[in-house]
Amino acid sequence: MNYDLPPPPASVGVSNVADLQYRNYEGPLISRTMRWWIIAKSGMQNTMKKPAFWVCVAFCLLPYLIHFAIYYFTQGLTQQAAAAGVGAAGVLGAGDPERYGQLVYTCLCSDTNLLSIFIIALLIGTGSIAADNRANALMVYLSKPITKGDYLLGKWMGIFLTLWIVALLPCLLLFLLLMVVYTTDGFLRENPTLILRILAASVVPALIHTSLLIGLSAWSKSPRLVGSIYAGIYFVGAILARILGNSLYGNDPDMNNTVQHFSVSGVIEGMIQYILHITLSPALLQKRDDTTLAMPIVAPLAIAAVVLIIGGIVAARTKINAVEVIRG
Amino acid sequence: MIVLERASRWYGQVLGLNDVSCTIPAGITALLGENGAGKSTMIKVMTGQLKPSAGRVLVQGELPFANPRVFRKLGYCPEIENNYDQMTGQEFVTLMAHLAGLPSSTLKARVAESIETVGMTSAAGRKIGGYSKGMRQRIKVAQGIVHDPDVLVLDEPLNGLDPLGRRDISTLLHDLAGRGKCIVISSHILYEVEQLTRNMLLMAKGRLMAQGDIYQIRNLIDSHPHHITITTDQARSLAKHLLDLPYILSAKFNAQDSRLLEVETHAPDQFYAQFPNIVLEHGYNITHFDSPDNNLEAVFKYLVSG
Amino acid sequence: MAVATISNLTVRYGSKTAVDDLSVEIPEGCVGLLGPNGAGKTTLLKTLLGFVHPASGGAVVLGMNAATEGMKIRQRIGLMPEIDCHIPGMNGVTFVALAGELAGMPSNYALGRAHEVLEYCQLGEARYRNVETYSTGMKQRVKFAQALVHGPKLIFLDEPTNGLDPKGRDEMLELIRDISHGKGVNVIVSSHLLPDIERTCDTVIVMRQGQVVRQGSVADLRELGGLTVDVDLRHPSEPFLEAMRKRGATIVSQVGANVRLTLLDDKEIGRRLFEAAQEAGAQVRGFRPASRSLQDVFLEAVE
Repeated sequence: MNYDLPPPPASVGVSNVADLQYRNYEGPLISRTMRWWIIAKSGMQNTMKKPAFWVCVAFCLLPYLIHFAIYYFTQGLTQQAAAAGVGAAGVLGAGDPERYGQLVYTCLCSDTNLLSIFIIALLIGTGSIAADNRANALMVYLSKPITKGDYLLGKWMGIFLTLWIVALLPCLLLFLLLMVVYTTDGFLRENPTLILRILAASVVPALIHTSLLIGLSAWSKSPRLVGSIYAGIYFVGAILARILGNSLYGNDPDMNNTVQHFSVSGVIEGMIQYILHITLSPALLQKRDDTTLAMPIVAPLAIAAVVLIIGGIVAARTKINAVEVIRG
Repeated sequence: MIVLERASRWYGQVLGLNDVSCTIPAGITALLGENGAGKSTMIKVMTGQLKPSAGRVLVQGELPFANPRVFRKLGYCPEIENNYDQMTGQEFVTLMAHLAGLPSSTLKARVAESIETVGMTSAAGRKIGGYSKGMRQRIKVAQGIVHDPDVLVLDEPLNGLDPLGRRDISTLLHDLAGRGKCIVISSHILYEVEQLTRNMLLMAKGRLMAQGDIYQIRNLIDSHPHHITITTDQARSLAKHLLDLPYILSAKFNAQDSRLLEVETHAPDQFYAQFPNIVLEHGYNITHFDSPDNNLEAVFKYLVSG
Repeated sequence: MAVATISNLTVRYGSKTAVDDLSVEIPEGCVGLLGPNGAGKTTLLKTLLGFVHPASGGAVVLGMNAATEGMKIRQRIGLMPEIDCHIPGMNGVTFVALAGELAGMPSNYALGRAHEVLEYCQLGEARYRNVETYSTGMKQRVKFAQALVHGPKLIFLDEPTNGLDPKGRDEMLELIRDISHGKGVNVIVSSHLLPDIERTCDTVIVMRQGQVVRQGSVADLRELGGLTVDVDLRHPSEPFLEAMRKRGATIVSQVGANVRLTLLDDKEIGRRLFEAAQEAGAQVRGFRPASRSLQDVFLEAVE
């Protein structure tokens, strides 16, 4: 059925002067399938416009660049050593199957990298829904053919994809570098699953930061408030976990280690360590003796991670579901 | 009752009020002007929230700034929407009554009375956070009148009210004006203001542009001659007669309606005096006779756009 | 032909019944929706937008079932909400283009169309500025633009002149009048400002306590019929009233210098008024067939 009003009287014949009056849009309208992607894309475009974002990305790259530089400058020495028949496989300790994983861990979980990822998360995550709350943007969104689920998914994906790519890309480059250099030394043979582990490990900080920030952001109207709260949880949580671990389980190094990992940053680091399947060597721990640190007990950490992720999403969903488009 | 003597107020470099002098008598006065014209600044200096940077403001003979004596006699209903959401309506009005210095003997009765006057008795026990826009508006008016002030300043009081609510508040304001109070209303909704009062203060760019009776001001606006529309069978014949009159500036016919004649004149009094004579002398049959721009909206438009 | 039809609609929120067995047809053109707070207008709008699951009955909007095809409906209609709302962190064009994309426009179409619509709403260079820096008038116009961008055949405007100064109100009402008369878009306006409705709408629907109590064209509703005339005098004049009574008129009401009277016949109204005025030494400054203002219609309907 045609619901149009009769069109305005058409101009007679062909005219030299174009009719620039308002015309109705008669073009295509695609249906709903990937509506969340529009929101995610819009969020990512906004992020890329911020100079602070790129500064943080530069800081993320720093640990990788440093290790690359170390490798590059020492390569000359190792080649000479190899030519002279003295063993050693470059920078990394000989024969240690975990050495590649440990290198990735060093870079990925370096303070600089994790901190930069955290700051990027703050930058894009705090305002995601909080700014919308303040501007009542949900009114605009919901009057279009999208659901609240689409909205939430779009926001979540916008942040998640950004954080994941920032964590993943430098890692991938490192992997390529290692592949180029150490294939002959058995790089791919020794650690065939490394690439998959890298993919999984880089997902962890993205998942946790995104979900928690979305959860917090949905309940506030002020991005700054969300930022301060999350920063508080992050840093103070880490300190408290350390204190708790030492005081409760001073004599039990495994339990001590696990409890110390019971903060947001701890969970991230712990899960990455588990996924990369490494123990932290003395070199990594910067200790002089032979102490190694085994992986923390995974189960509680994994549960904590899942709780954080699901909790954040549920919190956001609850708040958004309560919004009404037209108020009486 | 409110007097401004060459009052000016600036915020840093931005000019809020510029050399404004006027006297606001008892009764209802409308404060009009576009956004940014200086109305809010005017209200703030009148209610004692700001001190004028130059000149002075007197409310019933006293300076209002931080002056509790003036606040006891002044009621103020601001435009803001964020209220004490955690309080109930009753608690809110009681608090304001305390602040206004009502003696405790009469306080409860006055609170109940003013809540009833605005029609909020049934909802007074609920938290303000749950109120609709119209209800918030009413509770604001209640707190403004609870201490029976002599001067009442209202900023957009009818915003958000449905026509029934508007009528109720308008009636209330008429009552108060009838009892000799001085009421200042700032509003954008000109047709409503027109029904409330004929006295206005028009602000533009921080200056007082016009003051007084709307229709008198209309007569003074020379640059915009009065338009008068006449509907009659013999429009063109009538037009010929009217064009003989020296103070008729133009006569316009309407393409869609051949019975419609529009004339312009800058001497409306003379026109209204002579027009009936012409009609009766020549026996024209007039069915409509009107002056469409003799209202507040037109006056406002002419004054503001120059 | 009706743009939307509501049939025997009943909507309940918990134990409260907002709308009970409501049936109404929304005609084409520009329709004004009036009613006191709590009359059910909000529920009606929400139903038409496809947000509500009725307890019984249903609604059909532009040929689509409101209960089951809510998404499709929202693709074909536009909403200009009452409260201040926008998507933060972007300028006018980006905002409107995003609104278009969300409604389903391909992104290459969305930007061009956003410009066109903003041009129509007379937002010139300001469209490149962040929406947060806009004045109230501009914010309302951007809200209007985002409702129009995807070419809906029906738009809902909720208090469109909220917070606007007289000039802004004038411009917005012009836009509404233009879009509904001549550009082929059906409009439903919900407002408490009755002169706004009078100026823009052809028909009105008055609701009260979940029911429609009046519906019809503005002209029809306002017509008083009969021979009642509103007369504007220069000064209130008792002799004039006497003179008119002698000529067979009945005085209906008098407010200051304005008098409403009923005549016995409609011959030569002007002459009789002028003669009476001359006799009484009064001056008639205007007269017209009396019509009720929309406010009177409303008050009569809801009390």
